[in-house]
Amino acid sequence: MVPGVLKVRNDRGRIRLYDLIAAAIGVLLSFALVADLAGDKAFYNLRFNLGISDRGPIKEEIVRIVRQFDRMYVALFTSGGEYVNLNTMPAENILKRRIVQDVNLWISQDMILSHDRHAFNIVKVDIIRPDLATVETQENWVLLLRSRKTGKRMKSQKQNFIKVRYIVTNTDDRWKVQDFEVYSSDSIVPPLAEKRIIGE
Amino acid sequence: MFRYIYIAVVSFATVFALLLLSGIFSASRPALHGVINSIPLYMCSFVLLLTVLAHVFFGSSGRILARVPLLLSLLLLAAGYWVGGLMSFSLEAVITEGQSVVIPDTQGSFRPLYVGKYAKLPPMSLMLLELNPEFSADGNSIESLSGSFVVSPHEGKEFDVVLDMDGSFSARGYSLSMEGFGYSPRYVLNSGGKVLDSSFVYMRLFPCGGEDFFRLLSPLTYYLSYHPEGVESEYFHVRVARNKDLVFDGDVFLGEAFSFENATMSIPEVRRWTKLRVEGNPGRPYLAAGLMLLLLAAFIEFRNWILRRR
Repeated sequence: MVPGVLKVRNDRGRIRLYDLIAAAIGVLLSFALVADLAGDKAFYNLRFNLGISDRGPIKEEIVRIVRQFDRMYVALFTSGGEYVNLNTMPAENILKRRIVQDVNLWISQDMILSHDRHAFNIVKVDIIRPDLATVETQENWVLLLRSRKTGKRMKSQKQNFIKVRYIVTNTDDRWKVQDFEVYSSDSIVPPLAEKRIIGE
Repeated sequence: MFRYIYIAVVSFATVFALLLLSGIFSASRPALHGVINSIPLYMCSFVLLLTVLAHVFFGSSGRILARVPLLLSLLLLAAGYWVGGLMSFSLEAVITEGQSVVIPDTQGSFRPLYVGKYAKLPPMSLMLLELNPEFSADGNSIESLSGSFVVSPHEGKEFDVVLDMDGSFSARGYSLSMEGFGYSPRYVLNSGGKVLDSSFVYMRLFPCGGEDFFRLLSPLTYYLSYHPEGVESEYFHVRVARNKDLVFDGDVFLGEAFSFENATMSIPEVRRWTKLRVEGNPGRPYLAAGLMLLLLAAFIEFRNWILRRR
């Protein structure tokens, strides 16, 4: 046998060992470069995409984030503009802005929309991508308009049975609520819109 | 030596492109444009070209003349790839019937690396007159779609173009095609007897029953699904949520006003939209010439191989 030649196969019945080594160097370099370009989460993404990651702790973390968001959401409305903890609210800025805008609209009318939570049940947690998940809940709220100065009830209370789908994204290694969709309690929550997935 | 460089570079480039396209190390898959025009692949093409040149000049033992077509084809292919990478672009614009877009001043999904004067194509305006979809029997998919456009170049006479979903149209360096279909309802928002706002909003409401949403400046979110073939008349299912407070949920006919909080809204008109894709790649003529020469070179090599075997 000639040194550097393997009896494998090619047009003459063998492949040279050095050809294999050259190909292996190319393949290894490409793996290393793609993994490096993907950043710190490369191997987490790899395990996720191969379906071998443990999703239990991730789901627990996502549920914890949604519950925390919900508590802070209620606190923002009920406190009538107490924004001290706004920075720690696990939500994207555009969503926080929408909530704050709503609270401020009530404040401008000297009112507070207090939220009384009667039920908050997690129905489903879906991890769609390593950085995108949805949480579906069934919620029951009693909404009550009060005077900001006197605390007196301004209108009759409103019972609000809803289904909510929270869209949760992971940026900079932190899960945050990016948005939420509200459905009536008797409706079927449709599949997540494609534009949510592709980020359009 | 040359052989090992070829094998290593081609293996690297192939596996690199496949890994990137598969998105296995990342959270989402990148676009094909981004992969083809990535720096590592440019470097591979450069190394490959240098290796081929060195091989032909130093390693082909006086048979340079016989390799001229191969050399030229490789040079043209490399030129086409680099010119394309530097100057090609891809733009997308959602356009509703009756609406105009000016290209290339639209949002680009892929912009050229070189944006100097040689990469600039003359601007032109496109107006979508009408979309004609043909639906499948169940109405849930599009069998064919054609769109009538009026093209107004910056200089010269305007002309009409009919685009099909499967075809494309080339004019003045641009290649135009369209994909996707949906409905653009026009909402009218009233408060205190005054029209506060009115606009078409493009929404993914096709296939019918599909739901989409839009937001204005207030904290309200408007969720819509469209049913053009309702029992009595076409109607929408509308849901309006003020954060978690559901302030309206019901069916609304076309043109019918519905009230929530201190406002009313109606949807008097529905038009159709499509996504217009505008592409330009000045490297294509080089690539085409390079491929033709490569075929010629392959034919010559094959002929020589047959002659040698005889």
